[in-house]
Amino acid sequence: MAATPTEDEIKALVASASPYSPSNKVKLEAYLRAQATGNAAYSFEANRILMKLYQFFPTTATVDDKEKERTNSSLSLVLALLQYPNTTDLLALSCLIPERLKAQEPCASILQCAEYLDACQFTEFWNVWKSLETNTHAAIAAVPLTKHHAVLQAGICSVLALTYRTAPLKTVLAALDIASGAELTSRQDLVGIDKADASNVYFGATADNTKRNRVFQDVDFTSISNLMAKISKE
Amino acid sequence: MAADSDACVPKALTDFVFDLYDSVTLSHIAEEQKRLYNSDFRDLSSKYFASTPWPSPQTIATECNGDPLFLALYRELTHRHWHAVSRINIRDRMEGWQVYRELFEEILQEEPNFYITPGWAFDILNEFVYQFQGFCQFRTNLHSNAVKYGLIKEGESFGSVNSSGPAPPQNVIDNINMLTSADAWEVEQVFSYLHRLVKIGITSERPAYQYLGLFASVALSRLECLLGDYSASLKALMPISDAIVVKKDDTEHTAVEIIQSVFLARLSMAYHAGISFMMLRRYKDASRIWGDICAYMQRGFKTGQLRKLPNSDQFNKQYERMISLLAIVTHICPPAGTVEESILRTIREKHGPILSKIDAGEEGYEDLFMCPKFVTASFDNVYKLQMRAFSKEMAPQHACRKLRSYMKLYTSVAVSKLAKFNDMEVDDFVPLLISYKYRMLQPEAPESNMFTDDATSKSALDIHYYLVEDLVHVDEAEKERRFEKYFVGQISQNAEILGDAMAINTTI
Repeated sequence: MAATPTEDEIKALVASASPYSPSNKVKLEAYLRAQATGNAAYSFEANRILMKLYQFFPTTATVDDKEKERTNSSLSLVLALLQYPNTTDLLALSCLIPERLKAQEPCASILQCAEYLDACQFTEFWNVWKSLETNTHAAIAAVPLTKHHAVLQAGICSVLALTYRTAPLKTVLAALDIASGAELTSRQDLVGIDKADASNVYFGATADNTKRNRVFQDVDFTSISNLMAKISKE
Repeated sequence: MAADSDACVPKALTDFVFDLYDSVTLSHIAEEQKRLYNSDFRDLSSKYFASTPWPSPQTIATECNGDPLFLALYRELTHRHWHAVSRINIRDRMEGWQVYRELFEEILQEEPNFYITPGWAFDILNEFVYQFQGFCQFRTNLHSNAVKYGLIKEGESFGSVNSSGPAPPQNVIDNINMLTSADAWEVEQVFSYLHRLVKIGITSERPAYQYLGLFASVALSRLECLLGDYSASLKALMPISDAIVVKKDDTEHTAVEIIQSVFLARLSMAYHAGISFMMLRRYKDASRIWGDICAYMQRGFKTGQLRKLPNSDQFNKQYERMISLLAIVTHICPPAGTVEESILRTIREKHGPILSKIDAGEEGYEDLFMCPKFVTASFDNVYKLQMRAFSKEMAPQHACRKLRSYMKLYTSVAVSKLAKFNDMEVDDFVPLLISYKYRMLQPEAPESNMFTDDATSKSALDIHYYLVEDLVHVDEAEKERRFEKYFVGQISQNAEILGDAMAINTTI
């Protein structure tokens, strides 16, 4: 197995004049594995280039090559999913990974999770995610899915806070896959929640979940008269 | 290819070659070169070479002292002409690769001192990507034929040709043999040349290299879009900013001005960048870039200005395509001042009926999706992949528009009532309410630079709503009141009038 390149090496590769050289594949695969295990910083660009290399140089020669392509495509998708609520990376990768791979597991389940998150069907999302956690496919075994549970909960919480000022407690608990109100209030990482009581959760006031101030269209003449006087002298 | 044309070379042609060589390597006079490149070449082509190739470089070598760079430029120019007037076969495609390889190696390895106009630089790079696109499509078709005749299995690359099905036509076998025997249009090399030209354009102070660098960015953006890599397509345009300045003689122009001086480049950039924005769910940015170019073209068609430009026959088709695409993004995401009223009126006139059918749920957006001819460097069906991605993105839009139309009628409404209007149970409806707002929170680039990394998340909705328990409160979206253009325009007009008034001689 190739040694893991450093973040700087990857940045140099991405910025080089030949990012799509097939010789970069091994480095990028090693870096993807390191990202999956949490030993390297996430790099969408590196993963994108790797997916392009699979597109440009189809590795269908051996069973091992096919399996590697499937594994790495799945890993890049799950890492992009973990950037939620940011969806740009996942959207971009979905347009690069061929249908034949997306139809196979675990890509199919990962994309199903992404669809549920996009549609804010959080209960359905947790059902699929937790089945991935308990029966982790070998292709994504390197990713500690249970560790990322909290990251996803924080992402979902921020999405709820966009729309809700006050939400029913049971809705929030189901959306965040949290058992009780007490557990909810003890979670410091769930930014956006002000407080919770027996029936409701109160999200902090932001421009997204409160009434907007009216903007007045008119500008009175006195505020621009100095400017006009200056221009008329020129 | 050029054997017949070599036999007798008209004097007008030798004079043209000599003058062009002088302008490229010695005089560097832009206006003269424009005349030679845009008018004289076209006139000579239609007079002497309407359906035949120009003489080979060897034939005219004496007119240019055998200069390798000029001969490479000449070869590219005449090959491009041949590509336009003839029916291209696989040999021509393979030769095309040799033409561009020779030219780019000469420019990148030797870095000679030469000058070509921005229009010429763009044409070289645009044709380079166009021929690569044509080659990929040819190879994909050949692959389909090879699978059909049992020469290879689905998903396999070309290997040795052994038919297991009905006897294939000889030309299919010949084409496969030729394709596998030579290294042509290797995707890694294509990208490498474009990236290297971009880099040399950034570091060089010579106008020709700077032009090549800028238009290589535009070509790279187009290529990435054709391959379905939308984030790379936008990233390729980052070098194009007002920060880069090209000095030629006593004039200075920014990178943006150089791109805009070649209308086809501006059109290509707007179209492909817009597609990339749309596929990455950045509807306002797509709306803005297409709205701007369509408004410019609409004015240009009315005044006849665009007809004077080279390749103006292509403009109308591109305009129609972008209007169709604008119809999609403005339907999903009402423009709120980013698109001119005249363009919106054109959209309503051309696509009103189909948009009504989409609202009624009778049709989808697919017929309006005037996508580019996507290509693949492998054998997967990339067109199908992109269409599926597009359809998946558009699938929730019907429900979202219906939701929006009901919300606009209220300042506050119960969730259960709104769910009933939308023919949904409350438990199924609440996710739609949340996801509509979430999906429409999109990255938006600043006005000063559309291709920067500094896009910020903003709501693309024209309404604002939020939930308090089981009540939806609806408000109009925060309006951005843009006054400055109006007032600056009026102030400046006032200053002009005042100046004229002051200049009136009132002495009796």
